[in-house]
Amino acid sequence: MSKDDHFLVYRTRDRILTVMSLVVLFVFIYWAETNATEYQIRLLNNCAIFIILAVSYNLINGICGQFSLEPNAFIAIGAYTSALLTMGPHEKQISYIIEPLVWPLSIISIPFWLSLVIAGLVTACFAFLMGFAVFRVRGDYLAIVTLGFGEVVRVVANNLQSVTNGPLGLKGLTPYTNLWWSFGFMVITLFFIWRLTKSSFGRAMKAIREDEVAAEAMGVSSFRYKMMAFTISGFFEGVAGGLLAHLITTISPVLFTFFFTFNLLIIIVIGGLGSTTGAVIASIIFIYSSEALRVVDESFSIGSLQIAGIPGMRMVVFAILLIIVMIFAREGIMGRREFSWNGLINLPKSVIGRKNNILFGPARKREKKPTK
Amino acid sequence: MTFSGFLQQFINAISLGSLYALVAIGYTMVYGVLRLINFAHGDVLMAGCYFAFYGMLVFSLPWWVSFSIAILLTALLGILIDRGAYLPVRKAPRISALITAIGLSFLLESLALVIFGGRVKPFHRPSIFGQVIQSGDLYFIALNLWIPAITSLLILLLLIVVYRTKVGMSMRAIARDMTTVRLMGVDVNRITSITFALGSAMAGAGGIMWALKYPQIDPYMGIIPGLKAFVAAVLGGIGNVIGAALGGLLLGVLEVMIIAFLPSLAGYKDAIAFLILILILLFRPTGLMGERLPV
Amino acid sequence: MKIFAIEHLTMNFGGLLALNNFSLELKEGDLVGLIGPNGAGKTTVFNVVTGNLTPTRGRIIFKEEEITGYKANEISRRGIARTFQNIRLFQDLQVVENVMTSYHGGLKSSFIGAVLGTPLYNREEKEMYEGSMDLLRQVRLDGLAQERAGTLAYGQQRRLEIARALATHPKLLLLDEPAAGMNAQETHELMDLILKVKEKFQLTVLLIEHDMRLVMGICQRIYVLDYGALIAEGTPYEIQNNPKVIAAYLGEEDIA
Repeated sequence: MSKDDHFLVYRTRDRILTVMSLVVLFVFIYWAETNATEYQIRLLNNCAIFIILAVSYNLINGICGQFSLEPNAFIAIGAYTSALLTMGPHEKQISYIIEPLVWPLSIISIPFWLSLVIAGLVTACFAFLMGFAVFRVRGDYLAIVTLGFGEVVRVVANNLQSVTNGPLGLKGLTPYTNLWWSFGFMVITLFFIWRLTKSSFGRAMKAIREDEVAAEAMGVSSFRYKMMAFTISGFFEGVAGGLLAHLITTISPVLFTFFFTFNLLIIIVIGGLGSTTGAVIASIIFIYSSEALRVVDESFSIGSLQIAGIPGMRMVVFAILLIIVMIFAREGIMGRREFSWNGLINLPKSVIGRKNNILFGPARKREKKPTK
Repeated sequence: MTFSGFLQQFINAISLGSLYALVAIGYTMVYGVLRLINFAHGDVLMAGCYFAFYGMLVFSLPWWVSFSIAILLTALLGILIDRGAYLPVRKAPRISALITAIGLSFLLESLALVIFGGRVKPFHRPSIFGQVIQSGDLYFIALNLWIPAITSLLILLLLIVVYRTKVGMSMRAIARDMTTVRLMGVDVNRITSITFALGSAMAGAGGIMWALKYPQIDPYMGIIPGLKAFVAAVLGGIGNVIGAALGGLLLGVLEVMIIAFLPSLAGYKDAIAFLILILILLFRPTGLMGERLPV
Repeated sequence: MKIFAIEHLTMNFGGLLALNNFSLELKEGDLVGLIGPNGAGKTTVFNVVTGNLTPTRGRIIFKEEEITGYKANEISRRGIARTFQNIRLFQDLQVVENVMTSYHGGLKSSFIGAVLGTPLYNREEKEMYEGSMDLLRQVRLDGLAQERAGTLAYGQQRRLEIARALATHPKLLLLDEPAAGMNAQETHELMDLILKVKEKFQLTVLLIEHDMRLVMGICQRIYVLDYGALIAEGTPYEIQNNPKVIAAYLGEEDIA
């Protein structure tokens, strides 16, 4: 077979495998929706939402290399937008006891999926506008500016009574979010970001990450692609915000602090900054280990020994973990590598130590002499 | 607004601005030497408050002893942060150092939460500071005079160190070119630790005075003042000690006076600093004293 | 036909005069060298030309258009490409991906097209890939196409930089010390390569070099900079025998 044929065979195989996995996921969700406990469903929903968040956050931080601390701001904007759009006029009236909600928000009530899309678009608009200020600077400054924006969003949410209901927040949201919605959007997000990263646009973003000056010299407008990464991140983080709002059914400014961003930061760092696959893996690990570590916060017993829990210890553990990873294992789990069916299939072989090629199947024959 | 009302607010503004100035200097010093924004700086401020608090409460030390020891402990904390967290990532890519800084900040906050508990604690205000002074229809507490006075003294001392001692000269040299300074046989790590110690001591002092002014402490109290102090440092021109002091004063004045003239915006007070940050970065990123932003 | 001109370029870094009234002219098809002792300002010239620095005074004219002060990516798109003195490859990307980024500027598909995988985008991606592989063949790096750029040997990295620059379809190619760190054999191959690509792609070439073998070997004309000012201009033979040039390199000695 020629090299092209090789390529086609593997691509077809990969496609079939991917479709099969989606089918398996579909069946799993169907089963879970009817058979799993509420606790398990909540964890699964959290997983899906965090995967959306981590993968989008990784786009601006890891792929494009622009160290931003924006998620809590965007999640908040998405959550509020979506909530305000789905709440019925009557619910709004009873919620807004200090100041009535402005028109036309007071009368709007639209379907859930539409509210998510609009939440995403609104957040993307914010991201776009923010970008003009944010991308004037780099490195530490970019981080602080985005952090500052997060604070501004929180302060505004706390004060704009007539829109956000201030510190009281919004309660009694309809719990629209179920596994279908959360995993559905998760699949869409993964597809979008995966394809984008592998495309020419993803390459441009990575080039900016690797060496912005060189990228510019090769004709890549760094501003444009930073904006692109930022706005797309904003869109999906907004959608996730809407999903989150309708999962926990109560939102208020105190939910969207830097804490949230920090958790996402831990996730993408441990997963491997720049790896979408890593972000997915780390999200799952994070959600389940958060649960497991809950024991550290509360008391638990080993046999007859009662060990008192210390509230808040969980976060200490996470913080220490982050610092240790930074000092000793900066690459995280995946480094910058991505998932590939080939990689997965060859995993046993590579674990045993045989040389394998990630892209094209069997080991390429390396040319000994340079060709003319 | 009456003139005395204006003056009242102005005194308040200077007092607040002095605090921002003190903390901003810590940021700027560390940045000058390491080209790193010490995200944990605001949390060092918080630590200083708690050290002082427990000194007075648990060890029943007189306030001036407790404060002095607290500042010393804060300086030690600064050294610990430098050696323990920032030194190992000195050679790592910038982003790693940044993430470490954030992780460190979070660690300090979480530790404080675990050790000291999350409930807000009242900070004792000694009567010398709480004394009400009256002049015409101006009423203010003595603290608002003490703060600018002490701050000026501390800044003066710091400037003497930076511009008149060998250590200070090393600091300024490192800010220009660390590699060459290393080649000259200067122990860069030692100077860095000293810089951290000084900057953190400033933050500790600033924190204690902050707690005297707003006598409630909690583990997260350092975040907002820390961020605002950073804005002040940028406003003044990052890397420039005098700029940081001026930036801090200016920020304090703007924050208080804007709210004084537009009281309906009181809830948005915290957002003012960030709006200023955005405006500076948009229109004059080098700040007042014109130090170039790194590229 | 005049294609490129630098007119009275002055670069003042807050008191340090890096460039002092430097002028240079290139005709289409020229292969010109820019030499001078370390710190003379040669890379500064490049940085101004490619938009990384804004000059204090002076103009850059390219294809009859003034491009002074334009942004780097705009200048790149107008047809000026460069390599860097200290190699600036996209370390973590594959060799072929490094070259493919240069094609990105000419992409017509939108990112939606890329995500959805429209026929237009797929075709463009294929063209970018094949174009890149072609260029890699020119510089004899096609066998390493899938390797991470950071793992390449030094000489290979330099060749990759050239391929990447060529992928922007330039008319003017600026090479910043392309032979740095190369041995005699590699330098010889590099000289061949430069002549070959210049011929094949109809380029005008301006290069900075310290390696006199290369400069004297392939340059038609040479400009000599010292402390930011032009001290000599001429053919290799003229430059070799110019006392001012010798003095600049060796110091003011008695060359009686």
